[in-house]
Amino acid sequence: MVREPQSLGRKSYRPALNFARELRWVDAAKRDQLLSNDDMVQRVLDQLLALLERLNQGKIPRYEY
Amino acid sequence: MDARGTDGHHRPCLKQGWDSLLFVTLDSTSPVPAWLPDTRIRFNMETYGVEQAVGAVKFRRPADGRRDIAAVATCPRGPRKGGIVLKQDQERLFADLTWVEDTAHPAIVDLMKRIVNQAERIRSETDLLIESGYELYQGGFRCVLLTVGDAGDLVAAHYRNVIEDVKLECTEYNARLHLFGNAP
Repeated sequence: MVREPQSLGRKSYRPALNFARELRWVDAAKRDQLLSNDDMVQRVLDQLLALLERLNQGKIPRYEY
Repeated sequence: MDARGTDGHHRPCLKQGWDSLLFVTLDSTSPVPAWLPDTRIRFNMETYGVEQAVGAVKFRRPADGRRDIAAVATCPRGPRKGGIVLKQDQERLFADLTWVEDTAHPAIVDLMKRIVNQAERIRSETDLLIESGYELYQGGFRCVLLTVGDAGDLVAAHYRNVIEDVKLECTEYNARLHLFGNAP
């Protein structure tokens, strides 16, 4: 039996332009800042490491195959 | 400083000289204020971008860091006009297939590559087992990051010919995710 992975959380960003007409991202939950690709890389990896931390602390139930 | 030059940015100049003053035009079409001499201008943000503007400001700051730099954005009709023009440009460019293909698409590919590169760097510098990869998916891209515990992050940006109702979603899952193919 194949089961879909369960979504545990999600952060969304919307595209936007800065004054130089370069593509940037805006946090959908906090729209006061334009985020560059460098900022986004940092945020994604921070999210991944936070997920790993929760996993190691036993806060995320293991997937039963 | 607004078009009337009424705020306090000129005060350091009265003490330290006018060389510390840098005017930045936000676009190439709006007229600059009548009181601003051509010889005092400046920097064109539209042409050179924010990063170059930061470099110009740093260039004018002496090595001892003692002199303040007043970087002023000129906006003849106040900041509201610049915001309206920017929003109009955004709506136009996000619906422009050429801009999406030539500018947005490479920027998103660059983001996916950087995420994978940094995940690989973390993996190589730590004992964390992180798998990563990205691929074309439903017209956009998706990037998968997996940790040893089989929990994973999925970064996905879905778009086709226009950027309309597009989101970059970073979703956490409790299980392994798979890429369907190789990244282009």
